[in-house]
Amino acid sequence: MSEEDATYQAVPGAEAPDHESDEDLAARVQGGCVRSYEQLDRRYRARLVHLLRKRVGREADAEDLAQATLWTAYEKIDRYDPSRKFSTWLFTIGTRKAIDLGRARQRRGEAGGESTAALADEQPGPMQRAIRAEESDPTRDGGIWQVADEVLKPTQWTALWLAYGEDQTPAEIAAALNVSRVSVRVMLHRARKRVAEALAQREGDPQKALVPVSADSA
Amino acid sequence: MEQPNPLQDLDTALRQGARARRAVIDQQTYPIGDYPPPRPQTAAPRRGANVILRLAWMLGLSGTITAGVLLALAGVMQFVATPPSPPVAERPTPPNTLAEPVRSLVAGIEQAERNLGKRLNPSFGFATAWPGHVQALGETLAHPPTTLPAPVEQEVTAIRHDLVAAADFVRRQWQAPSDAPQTPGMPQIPGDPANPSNSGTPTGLFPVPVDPALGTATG
Repeated sequence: MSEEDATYQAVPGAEAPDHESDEDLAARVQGGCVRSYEQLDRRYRARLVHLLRKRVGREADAEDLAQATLWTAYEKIDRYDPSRKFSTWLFTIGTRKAIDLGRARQRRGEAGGESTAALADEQPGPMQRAIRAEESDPTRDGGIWQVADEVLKPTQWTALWLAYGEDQTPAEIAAALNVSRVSVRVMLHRARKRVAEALAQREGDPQKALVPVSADSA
Repeated sequence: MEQPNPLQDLDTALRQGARARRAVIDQQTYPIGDYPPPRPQTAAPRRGANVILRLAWMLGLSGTITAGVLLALAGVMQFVATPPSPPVAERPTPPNTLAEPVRSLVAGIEQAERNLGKRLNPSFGFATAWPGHVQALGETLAHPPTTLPAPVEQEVTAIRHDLVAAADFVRRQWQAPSDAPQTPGMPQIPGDPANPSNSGTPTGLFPVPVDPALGTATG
């Protein structure tokens, strides 16, 4: 029996069932259960990659950043307060790592930061291909997020996705993005308005709809 | 007929679209990380007493580090600094290195001078101020050779004459008031008629070996 298995077996009831909440699993990890964190890893790795890809540009970079985020969260799990949502805590770590990466790129003179055009994937990753394949089906929902991907700034897109895709409240989004609640509300309002404008433009002129609208006009 | 609310429609569309995208995302599979078992200290929550204990531990650690740095600095300064005093061999020889007979002689002379209230003879002061000479003289007195070298013999003779002169001086001082009572504690003068218990031989005032060939100290 490996040391990891021994640790796992030493924790009573450490089966980490799939129906357990994130917060309960995180509390088990604080008690020394590694399997519970592996369960959290399964739940959040793809979501982190999707969330961070918009900020870092390339899906491979987003995968690396998701790995770093999950590792940091595991190392700092004793600082997590189980009375709060685990997802908010994890997304906060992830978005701050993405901000740090963007600043490091700016110092090195690389493309990055808020420029979506410069960050676009030349070759979409596996997740992007799956999403596009799914959302190109006219019988399915999701086309509106293709528009959001194209026209929104990374910060606006992140706030909008956290609100609709991850069910985060404005206060939780504010904590994750390290901005005020008022800023989040303004950000969400402008993002929705920008998506609505782009949708109207696409419905009115299909040719224009194929050209991404500059995010600077938002 | 109810008018459609564009904002509500947009909100609903975003929510439904997000739900559909989440379904796609959740189908994506990635290899999970390889996490080691947590160490005991990382598993403990940082609250309350734990925070205080950690703070105290950090303070103790910083104090220990500071003390170590100061000790190392003191050690380095010990090597770098100039010795504060000359070697012991260069210091003047203290008087207590004189031989025992010489110390006794000097002590007796000093005691006599204190009793008289004045110095007996300049040669005594000269002798005490010259430790090397007195040391040689003391060794000679402690182990008297059969044939004394001329300088030492002369010195011994000179001291003996000084002692005789001192004894005469004391006697004259004591004989002047012939009926004065004997001062308690004063040394006995050999041959003193004022003191009947005097046997006429030196009685330990100056424990100097007496050579019969050079005469007695009675004057």
